[in-house]
Amino acid sequence: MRPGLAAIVLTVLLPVATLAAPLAWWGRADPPATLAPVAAGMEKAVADNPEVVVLGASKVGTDLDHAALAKAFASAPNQIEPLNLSGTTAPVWYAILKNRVYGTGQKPKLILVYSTFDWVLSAVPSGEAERAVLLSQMGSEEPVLRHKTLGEGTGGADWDRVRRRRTEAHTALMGFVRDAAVGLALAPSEGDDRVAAGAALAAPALEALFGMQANLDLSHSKSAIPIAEAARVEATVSNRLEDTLLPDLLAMAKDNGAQLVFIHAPVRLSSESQYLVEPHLLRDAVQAINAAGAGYMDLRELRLGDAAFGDAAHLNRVGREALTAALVARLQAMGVGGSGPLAPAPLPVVTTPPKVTRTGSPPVLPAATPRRGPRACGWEANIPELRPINDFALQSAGLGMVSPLLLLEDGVALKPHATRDEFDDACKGAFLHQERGVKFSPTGADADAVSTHTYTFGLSEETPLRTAQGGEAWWVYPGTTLTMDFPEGYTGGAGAYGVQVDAVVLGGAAGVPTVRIGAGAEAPLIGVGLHRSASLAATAPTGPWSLSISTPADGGWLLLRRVAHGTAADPRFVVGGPGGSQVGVITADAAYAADPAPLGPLGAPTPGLPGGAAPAGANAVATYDLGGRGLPDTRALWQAASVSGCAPVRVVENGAALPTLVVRAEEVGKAPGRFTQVGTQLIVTGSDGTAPGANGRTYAAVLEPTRKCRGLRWLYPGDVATFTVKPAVLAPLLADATRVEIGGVAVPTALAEGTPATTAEGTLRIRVGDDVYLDTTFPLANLATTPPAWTLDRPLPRGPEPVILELSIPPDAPYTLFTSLAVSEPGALALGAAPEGPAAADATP
Amino acid sequence: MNFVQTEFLWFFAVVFTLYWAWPNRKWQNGMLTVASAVFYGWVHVWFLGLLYLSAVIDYVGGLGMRRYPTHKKLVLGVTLGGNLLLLGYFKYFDFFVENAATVLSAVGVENSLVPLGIFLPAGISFYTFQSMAYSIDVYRGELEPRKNLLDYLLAVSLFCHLVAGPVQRASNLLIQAETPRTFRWDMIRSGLGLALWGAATKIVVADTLSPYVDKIYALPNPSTPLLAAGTLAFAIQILADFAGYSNIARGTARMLGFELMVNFNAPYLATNPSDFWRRWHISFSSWIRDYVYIPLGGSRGSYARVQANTVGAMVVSGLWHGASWNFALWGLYHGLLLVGYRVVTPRIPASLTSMPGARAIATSIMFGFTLFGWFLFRALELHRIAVVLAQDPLAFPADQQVATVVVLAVTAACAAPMILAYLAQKHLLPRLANTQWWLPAQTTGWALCALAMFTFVRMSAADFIYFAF
Repeated sequence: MRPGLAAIVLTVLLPVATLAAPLAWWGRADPPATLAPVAAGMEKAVADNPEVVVLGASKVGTDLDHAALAKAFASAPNQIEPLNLSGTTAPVWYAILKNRVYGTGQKPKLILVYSTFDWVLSAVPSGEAERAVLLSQMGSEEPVLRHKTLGEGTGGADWDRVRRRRTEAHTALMGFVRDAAVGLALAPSEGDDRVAAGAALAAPALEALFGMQANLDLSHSKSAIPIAEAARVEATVSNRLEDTLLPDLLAMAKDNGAQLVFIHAPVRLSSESQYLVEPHLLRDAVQAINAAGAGYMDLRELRLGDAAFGDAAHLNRVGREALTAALVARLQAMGVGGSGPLAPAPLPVVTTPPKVTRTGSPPVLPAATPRRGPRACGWEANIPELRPINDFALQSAGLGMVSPLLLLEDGVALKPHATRDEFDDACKGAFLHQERGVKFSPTGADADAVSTHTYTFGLSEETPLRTAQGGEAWWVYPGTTLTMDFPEGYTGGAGAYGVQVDAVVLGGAAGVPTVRIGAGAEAPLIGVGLHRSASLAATAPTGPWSLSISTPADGGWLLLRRVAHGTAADPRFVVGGPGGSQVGVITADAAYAADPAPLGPLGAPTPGLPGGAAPAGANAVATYDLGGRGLPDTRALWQAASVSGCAPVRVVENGAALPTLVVRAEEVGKAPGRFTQVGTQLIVTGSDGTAPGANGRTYAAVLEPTRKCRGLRWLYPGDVATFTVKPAVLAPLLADATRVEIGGVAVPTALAEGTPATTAEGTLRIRVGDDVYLDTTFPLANLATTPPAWTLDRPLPRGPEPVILELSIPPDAPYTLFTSLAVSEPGALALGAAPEGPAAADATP
Repeated sequence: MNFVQTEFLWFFAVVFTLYWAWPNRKWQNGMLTVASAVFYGWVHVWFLGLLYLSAVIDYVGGLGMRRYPTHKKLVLGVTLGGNLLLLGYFKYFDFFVENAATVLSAVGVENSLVPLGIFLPAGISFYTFQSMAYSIDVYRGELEPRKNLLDYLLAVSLFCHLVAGPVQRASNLLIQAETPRTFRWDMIRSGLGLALWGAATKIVVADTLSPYVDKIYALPNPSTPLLAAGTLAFAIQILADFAGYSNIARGTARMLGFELMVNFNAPYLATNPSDFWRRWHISFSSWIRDYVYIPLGGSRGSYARVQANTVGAMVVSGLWHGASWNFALWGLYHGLLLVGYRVVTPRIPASLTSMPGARAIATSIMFGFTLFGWFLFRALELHRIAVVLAQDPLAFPADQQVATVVVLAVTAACAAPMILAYLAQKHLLPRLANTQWWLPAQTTGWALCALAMFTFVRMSAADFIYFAF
């Protein structure tokens, strides 16, 4: 049917209205002079012209101790201002620095950019949510952002408003669907606002389930559509430095006379692959940073373990303290805070991963013959062939959970490195490789189902083996060769070229592992103890080349620790990295020359201090003033999380120690048997909640006899501690240790309050047998601020005799809590070094 | 190039204009062939080599069969072998090597077989099947071999169906390529509406559900109810994604004067497995029927043979979707469903099948079976399937309860426009189509699709699921 006039008019008007109405609504002008709340909040925060500004995303909030940074680089705690926004990347940081900081006339002296570098080099918003945040931070004139981030010809401010409000509409719609559904289905029925109740339920549940990124959203105050938004957040990294905001950030900071430092933030090792930047781009970026006189540091080098992370990307309190301490030290070493130029950063090494193949015949493993163990679900199977690489042997050698052994149930691998509750007490389909064999449990609830399955041993085919902790383990099995085929030659700096292999060998007899470049001569890997290494001088390859590492059938299990090639000035690392290695020995076996002297009975509680009758529901407390007994003032400890709760004083009631030392005074009365030392006061409640002094019992103070506190060590005045460091403790070092470091805090006594710092000195003596390697003293007063370190004249041997470290403080010294005692090697390579002995066979790729 | 990237809009606008600017069949075919090469070679030019190699093998094979009729079986063998070699190498070689290495290791044979990491060219499964269908039709005498290479190349490589179907029969598209096309406004309007609706279902429905499904299937220990909700979301996602693609393909082709096969017909309303395969990916399931099931013997032969043919054809169908055992398992599952249905159907009393609500019950049961199939399809790893099936189905942590409600709500919200569109197509549009209000309804529908896409579009649309097959 032919349409009439009305139909024709509607044919045009209806679609135009359908499109134009929302576009016009979304594109309406913003009310004049309104600033987005987040932006306004930032301007208020920087109104006092902070000396230090920190830019970045959520990691700035979780990873950095701002108080510690302020202490080191600002004149007052409020002179540092974190201007970070979750889920944002460099374009937003650029806009914040330009508009919220410099645009409001502020001139911070130091700008820190803390982030993973894929986000630093991102030029495009990671999604519509970040785009909306960016628009809310932009000013009226933004040629850089319009060109690099939004792209020319996007339609200008009107179109940006349309896009921003479009995203807000989408977010609100999907957020309503989510919150209303959860509110109706799961929120308590008595509430009025079911949508709000649903939001309150949904946000934490989805965050718990899908991780921190589930909560990225438009306004940073409410979840929008968590799961979908999370999928949008992947930084878009350009492959050209000039396309990124980095040159503009550098120029802006330089123009305004600020020191600018980019801090390459660490993430959990197992997640690093999600945050990688193309190596050449990173190298270009560091080059540009150096050229601009700004700073760069790569804190991934700290290799923080899983215990330092709260999730895949964010640090917890432990990690934050460790990272901030390292950051402060490195910033100071770089010259931050000074007037001179910042020290240039070493250029990141660009490596090309080789293709790795394994050939040869690894040991034939016996059939697994399970026999019933004594516990509910425990089974055992012998495998004596693999004793050298059992979990305990690898752990005690400091190598970690890197065993390549597989135990397969009907061809499916069981979980390795299990804990006892996974194979003794319950059937979790897991196994642990012990010295005498394997202990395991079958899958499923029935322990006796073992008879219905077939169990076989195997060796992992993965090269490198990815460990549960996110690390890599490069194994060369006895009787096999690992060949690394490099697709291209070496294009690094000039100088003597070479290849270096460092490894650990476990088990084996007479066989000698070897390394060979291409079809060249084989060079043996030689060394003492567990360590083997070879350094080959060679001609730098100009095209494809290969490196083969072999161990004969009687040559033991070879675990590669570092494989590098290149010149000393420009090395390439295939296995391991450029950093040196360090082991802490503070937890090594320690003996003290004498037991601590008793502090004596406490007598009657000190009048006038808190104590007496218990309030309802609490326990009675009494307070003793320990002033005059020369004890440490624990207020210095309570303020630092890593040493909090490490008071050395214990309380004995009628000869039996009270069980619980707590940190805060108000916690003492909440349960019987608690005590704390705050400053010089000892606050105690009886083991039954009665008040000491009124319950007829005798109380005495003693010093904790083991001097241990969560892996830290006290030395009481006059103490001499002898640390015996067994060879296995030093095994993880890639080379012989040549450096020793001490960290700690000398805690002033109550009597010393207000008096000058101690002039007492500690003594450190290192010997192997009677052979003394170091005998030195160090001031205790600045132990915390300037941890002493010594370079040894000759390296410490790694066996077979233990290394003895004798640490002592004089009787007039304050109580001293040692937080670290470490030996390390600098990781020096011998690439291209003159051939030495049989390990340096002539080789031509 | 992807149908839902901005470049395609410009590409299609230019092609459409040039195509109709000179309605000469040879010009149009030549121009479309070049445009299809641009479309397909947009990301990797070397993809074109494979496409044309596959096409030329069958083109030459067709001519060879006519020239050497006594050896046409041999020629067919060579052409099919060539196509299967291409497909086998690019799609299945690594799969074969991985499994061979596993089997050899399991029986104690030392080996150094390693996958080559071969890149899978987009759409190779589609165009090799289309090319092979041409050779088989020529062999069967159902189609005359073509001499005109240009027409033949256009039929094989027309960009509308090239990457993800619908899988065209040579007899359908070749004849259209050889026939002059005339410009008709009703075809343009209808094609534009179909393409816009397809893009909207892809962007609004499939891309909204995609991250939910991905997140749930990436969880290390999803509870059974959450996984069920995720699978329901996936069922809607894959329909919106694939049917959306098919509609864009059919719509754009229609605007150029070509009519492609219908690929979907409300598949989740199927009442039994046979019905499902008459409604889901129709072009492919009919290809499998005609070129795999029937050559295997089809419904001829013993009862057991017929069932074996069914299961075999469905396993091939499963493996066509990807070189992974879960796809084979999915095909096997659907094969067994078809066999089971044949076994059970005669035993169902007529009173039961004719009672009120029987169709709704049958549809619900079939949808349940379909969902379980999608779980096998999406899980990707066999051991994960085993773990999920062995876990306590009632374990349901609180945070997963919340996530389940969220996913069900979003799935319902996303499914709603598709359901409304189905009802409108069935009940409203036929009444409207012959009135003067049809045109304003059409243009308003286009505007609504455009507005929905603009509101929901992400910075970069997720790839179409079927690009991976």
